[in-house]
Amino acid sequence: MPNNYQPPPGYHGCYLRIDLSTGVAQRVELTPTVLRNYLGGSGLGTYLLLREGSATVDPLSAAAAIAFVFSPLVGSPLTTSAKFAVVSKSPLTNRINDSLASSGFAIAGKQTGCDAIVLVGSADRPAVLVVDEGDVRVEPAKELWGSDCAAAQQSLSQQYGPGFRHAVIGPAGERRVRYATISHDGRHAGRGGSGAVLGAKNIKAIVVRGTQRCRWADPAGLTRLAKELSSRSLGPATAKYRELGTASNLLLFNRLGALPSRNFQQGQFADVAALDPVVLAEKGGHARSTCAACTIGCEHLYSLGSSSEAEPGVRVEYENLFALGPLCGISDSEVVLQASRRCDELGIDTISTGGTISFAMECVERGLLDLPWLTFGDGTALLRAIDLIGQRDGVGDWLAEGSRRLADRLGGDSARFAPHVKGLEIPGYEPRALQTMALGFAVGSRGADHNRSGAYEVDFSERVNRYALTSQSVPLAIETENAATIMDSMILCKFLRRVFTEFFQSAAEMLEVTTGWDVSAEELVATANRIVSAKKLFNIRAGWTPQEDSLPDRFLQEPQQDNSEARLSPEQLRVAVRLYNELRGWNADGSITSGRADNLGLPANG
Amino acid sequence: MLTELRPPVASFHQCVFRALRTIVGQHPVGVMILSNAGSGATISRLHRLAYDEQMVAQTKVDVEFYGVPRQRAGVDRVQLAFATSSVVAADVIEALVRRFPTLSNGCLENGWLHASCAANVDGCDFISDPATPLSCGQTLLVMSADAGG
Repeated sequence: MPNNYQPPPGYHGCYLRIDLSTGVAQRVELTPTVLRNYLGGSGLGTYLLLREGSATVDPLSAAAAIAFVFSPLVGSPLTTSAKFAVVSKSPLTNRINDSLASSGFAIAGKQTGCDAIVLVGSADRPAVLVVDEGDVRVEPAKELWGSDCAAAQQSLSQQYGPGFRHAVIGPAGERRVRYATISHDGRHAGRGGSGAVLGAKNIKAIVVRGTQRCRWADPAGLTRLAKELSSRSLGPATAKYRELGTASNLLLFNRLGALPSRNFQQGQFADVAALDPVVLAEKGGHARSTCAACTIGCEHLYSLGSSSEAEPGVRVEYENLFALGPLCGISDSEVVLQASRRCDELGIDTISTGGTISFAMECVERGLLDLPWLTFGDGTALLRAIDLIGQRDGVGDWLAEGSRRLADRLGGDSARFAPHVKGLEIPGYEPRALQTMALGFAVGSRGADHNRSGAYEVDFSERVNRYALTSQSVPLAIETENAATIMDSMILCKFLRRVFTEFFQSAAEMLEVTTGWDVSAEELVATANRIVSAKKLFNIRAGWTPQEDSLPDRFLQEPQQDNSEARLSPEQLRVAVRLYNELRGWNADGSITSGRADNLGLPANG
Repeated sequence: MLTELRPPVASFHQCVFRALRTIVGQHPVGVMILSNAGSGATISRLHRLAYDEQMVAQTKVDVEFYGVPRQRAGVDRVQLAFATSSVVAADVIEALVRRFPTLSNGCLENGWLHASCAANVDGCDFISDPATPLSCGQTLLVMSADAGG
């Protein structure tokens, strides 16, 4: 990298590329044009993955790249900006995957003096990667290998001291469970199996420390915006997250018939009241916590009745509550908390875990799988299945592959009700009852996903009939996807979204005070479209076909069992997907013309 | 114009009102009686409302709370009764503000929903128009608008 390169404020202007096979680490320049086009986080990570040619390789091979990507806002006083994205090709979907999480790892990682850390190659034995500012070392993992996520972080804290921050995998990542997570400070880069990618590289943990700070273009303006944003983040727009947490969705979704239950056979769960967070708090106690550099404080921890007071509570979100509860027919809150904790310890995504197990339960019910113990509503079976997954033991080895691969193995008509899109298990938004979200799931670049598309926001409004997907929904779905793309690239927490009246304008102002760029709201919409298109291009290079922008047959052929109004036809979805593609500027089938690809400013290869 | 049937300031009337509320409270979370009579209602009028509720309260609307509104209201649900057949969503919101003043804390403002809240009829249609008519027996869901999980 040339010594005289002056990167834009907010950036270091390079990424740290580490080849784990050779031990070679180099800083590679990122030009202002690339940074402005792809911002950081998800966007920059997609660019880097394309640059590394990762689309065409096996995601669990040494040739695959995995990027830990920061952003221009990381390290700034803007609330919720201590976030990073982990971007790789997903071993679960074989498509682009970006998982975001908040922790001190983001701040310490950026202080090592780079905008991203990209790993390629593979260590020859279980190892810990240490990035101590300019010093990069690969050290033996020793007895750390095999330990659960929390224990591993505790050991690393003792070994390296308080100046370092860590990201670790659990036993599931070591065993390449295809939906293994990367854990840090008790939070997870959860979806799509980035933990398995790290495990395949024999990396148990990455520890980072640094002192390099970026300059800001307008420090006074940044401080002013940060104060305003913090103040707004403490208002009514975020009260739900602060006071109740996402788990408060449960009763509402149930009332609306949008709570997936028993592997998406129903949209309501009779025993839902037993899982009400208010009940959880009354039974075992409740505490709140917060991510690094966040004023919202959305984390709600609930104590297990059986645990000692010294044990930290279990972090409960709507998604783990739904996936390990109603989706598997479980109403025992103690079981759901235990299952959530076990997933966190093993380092597996709770949505994919619950989705895969509930699918297996239905297969047992239908006689496609001979595991009589694995039945809906059996808490002991749920906990046993989770442990088997973490160990890849017996049937756990099959379940560790996710619902799509399990359906491939079982055959029959199981693919009809395997609850995934592109291999990623569907989160807790019943697509027949929330049909704009159905479109969001179908076209999602990483599969069925509620974080990259916020189309459910449209369904939760008067703007559409949530039971009738029409062309009217499509631009609204795109709007939410664009906003999410910018939030995931700048990076900001999505729980802030309602504090903004004009999100793109506010985002442009934040970028201006950090980077000095004269950015407009219109430019950011174009940037979002570029990033979504880059993800699409990655998927096309990875083998995407138009048929995968759809939903499993269950959602297109059958109404919800308990709500005949919740019915979505294949033609409705096909028309909406076609319009989505056209509005994105792609061909009607979702492919991208070579001219359009050239305009993305992306490397031509992988 | 709908007016909540409030007791006059005199302590005698307050006692009467409380007693009548106990009599009328056939629903576990309470019933609010609304009429055009206003605070000037006589005791006999109050009795008539209490004992012949069906005649006076032409429209009953259930309200269910979810998320922050539930927390602010302190109850899961409430039934409101109106002495007219033409009730709109704004009437319900107005009544809720009176019944649950704590909803003014970030849930309801200026006679309608705060931007952080949403409303839905019968679990089907989301509404944003205060003039949306509500029929007897319908349920208005008042909830936190953000459904992020």
